[in-house]
Amino acid sequence: MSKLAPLYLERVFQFAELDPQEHREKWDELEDHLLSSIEAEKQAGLGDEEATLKAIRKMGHPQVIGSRLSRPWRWLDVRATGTARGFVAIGPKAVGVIAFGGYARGFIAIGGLSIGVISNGGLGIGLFSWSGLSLALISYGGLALGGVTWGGLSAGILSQGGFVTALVSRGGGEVHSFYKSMAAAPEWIQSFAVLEKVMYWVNVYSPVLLGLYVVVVLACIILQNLHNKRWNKTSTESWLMD
Amino acid sequence: MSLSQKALSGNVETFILSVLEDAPSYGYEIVSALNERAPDLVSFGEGTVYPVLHRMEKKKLLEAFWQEGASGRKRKYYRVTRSGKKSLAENLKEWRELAQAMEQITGKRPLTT
Repeated sequence: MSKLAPLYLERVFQFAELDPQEHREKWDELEDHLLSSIEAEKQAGLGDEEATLKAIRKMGHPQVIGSRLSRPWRWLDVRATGTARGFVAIGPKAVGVIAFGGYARGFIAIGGLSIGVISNGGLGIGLFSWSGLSLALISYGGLALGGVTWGGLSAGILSQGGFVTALVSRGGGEVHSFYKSMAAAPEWIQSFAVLEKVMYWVNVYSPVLLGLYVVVVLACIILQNLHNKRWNKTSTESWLMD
Repeated sequence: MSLSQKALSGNVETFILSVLEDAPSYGYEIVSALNERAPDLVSFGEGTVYPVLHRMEKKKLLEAFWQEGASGRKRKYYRVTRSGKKSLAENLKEWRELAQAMEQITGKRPLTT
């Protein structure tokens, strides 16, 4: 038997997080498939190596197979393609309690487009968003839109910032405010004053938030790089997959 | 012609149940049967059939058992459970109803368009 077959299976199982029992069973099952496929190709007239390569190609990319063999929900799921799902999910698309990626959805979502209870990124949507463009109940960002907002361009019910358009403004460079003061505003608007305290603490602790953000982002980048090394190893060995 | 991911979604289980309806089988044979019945129609990495089989096993649509194959290797076979048979019948009924509705609305039969 060609050495490629076990090598391919090793690659597959690098991407599958399984307990030893599951690992063994799934290995046996995939090995049986691969060997059956190789035997069929040989019967069709191919040589050992050619048959193995063809069988591997038909089987699919190691990461695709390995990731799908894994448990659907993991503590840590890092991917170079597709959607990562886990407690901490890192990938081009990520869904998790902590999600990091181009399109991140989670309790804490960090990414180009992030949707979460706490979202942070280019465009953040959520309850609390701290982003370039923030759409949230409590928004903090370059352009902040929502309930209580704070930003360069800030628009909301209760807003503060450089250029402010709001029902009630708390001050800023250029201000357009519907009500002159909180006392003049209806009761439902006054209830937003509670959130103002949150905003106050966000502002006070923004250096801490920034520090946490940097730590989380760095950790995610390191994990992603470690993963990418593994990914590159499999995808650049053209003799195996291309 | 091959089916898109969207068209395949939700139907792969029906294909597998249909292949396993008559007799237990194992992964490679299931994939071969699918390719034989509809060459080039269902094109996916052969390895991706296993997560589907495992999911169906968890959902108790299939049950698995290990047996020594003709080659002497340990081989995992799958057979359809009672709830698998029920699911297959329901899926086929739904598919027939959908095909009928499509035909009535468009006035075209799928194999003649």
